[in-house]
Amino acid sequence: MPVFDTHSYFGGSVIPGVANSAKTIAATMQARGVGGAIVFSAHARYVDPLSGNRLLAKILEQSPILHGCLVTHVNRVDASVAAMRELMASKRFVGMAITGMGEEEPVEKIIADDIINAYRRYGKPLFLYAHNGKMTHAALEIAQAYNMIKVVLFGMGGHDWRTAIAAAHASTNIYLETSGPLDRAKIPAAFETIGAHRIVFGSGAPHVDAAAAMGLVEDSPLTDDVRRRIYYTNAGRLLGLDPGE
Amino acid sequence: MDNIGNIIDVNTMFGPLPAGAADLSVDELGEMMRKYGIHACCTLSTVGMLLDYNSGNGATRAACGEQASLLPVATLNPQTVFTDDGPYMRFKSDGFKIVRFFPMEQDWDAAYAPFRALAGRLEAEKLPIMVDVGGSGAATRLVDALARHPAPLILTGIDASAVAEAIAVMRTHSGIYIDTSHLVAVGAIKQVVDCVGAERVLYGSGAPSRPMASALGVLRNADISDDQRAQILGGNARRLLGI
Repeated sequence: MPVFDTHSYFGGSVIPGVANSAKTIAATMQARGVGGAIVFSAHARYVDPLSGNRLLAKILEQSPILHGCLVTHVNRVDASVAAMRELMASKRFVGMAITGMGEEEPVEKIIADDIINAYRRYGKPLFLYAHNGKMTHAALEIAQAYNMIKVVLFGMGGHDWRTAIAAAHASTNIYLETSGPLDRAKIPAAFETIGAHRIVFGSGAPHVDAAAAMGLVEDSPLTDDVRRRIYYTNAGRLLGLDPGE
Repeated sequence: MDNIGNIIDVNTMFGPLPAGAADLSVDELGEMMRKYGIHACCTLSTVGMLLDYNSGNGATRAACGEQASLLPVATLNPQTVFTDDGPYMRFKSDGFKIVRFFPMEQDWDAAYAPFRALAGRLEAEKLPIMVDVGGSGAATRLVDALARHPAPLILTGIDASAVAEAIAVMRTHSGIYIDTSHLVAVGAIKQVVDCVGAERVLYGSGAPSRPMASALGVLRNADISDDQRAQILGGNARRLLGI
């Protein structure tokens, strides 16, 4: 069954030699049967949006199975908008993420508005980190305010995955990405509440091996049709790609 | 999967777990073992971790008494042990294979005096001790606390952020092992194997609250030799536990 990973990184691993080039990322994906992936720049997320996203653009040129997601930061609005103008028109960049003051801190709408307003014109999905309930509530506020934009919640609320499922139920432009705790209950619960069409597979590789993330889907009581949607059909529709290629 | 039929999972539980919603029954565990060809699981009742180790250990013995493929793991909470003599002095003769501690769930630390005292009393049993560790410095403090303990120590809960620390403490003491349940970062298992050897890595899934397919999938994809994989999947546990 084809698999598209909507959440992986270039750089940032504590293990030497991992995810440090297009070649290593693609080889790791292919060994696990992952046919395509969205890649984020760890440098853009943790250091500098402008240079990090430029580095990622170079990586994307080296492998057709990799797609990019621009990473912006609420404290670097000018650099974020500059990166957006430079790279977002490219078909290889399929979305944009907004990061905030810390990995576990919510991105509030009021400080994200400038970046989102500059992004709306591209008509591509918005990725928001949702590692806990507070981050999920903040993402829900953004999703409801910008209901013309499809919003993907990375990490599916973390241990507060019930909050993320409720958010997706409340706002139909929200998609749930499956990374985060390897809790066997969360995907079946999401499917039961919002159906299969707004759940997309993501691993968070290299921090979590795609094989581990796929194990969560494999161990969930789902039909093959639902698994196929989660693994690649939904991502294809969301991103305007044929992720099975 | 290589070595199928000989896999020993050193990290499973059964019973209620309010923080999770997946089924944790013994039957569910047995079903997963059959699905993935797991030969034996070290397991314990969550009651021992969450509330009362005496009741939990009793439930563990009862469940394991009914299924030979389940190997009993005892647990103790040092916050509730007050005597020098107790059922924990008979763990080995009662058939338990490992004694497991949960400092994070029970909110104590390896530096906690009752834990050190309890570990001292357990020395005569010489059963492997398995401890859930998390957070920077936890493994270091644990190894300091058990530096002279004669039995093997199994670290569990070690994720990518703690791998460097785990490797550092494993290099200082040859009797320290690590389970794979949280080694889910790309390359983490290989890193541990390269640094301290495959013979000190044990397959553990954290099932049934965590997916057995995840731990197996990561191990299947680890860039190590088939011999090393076979050691991790069962050979090491068999030797360590005397199975």
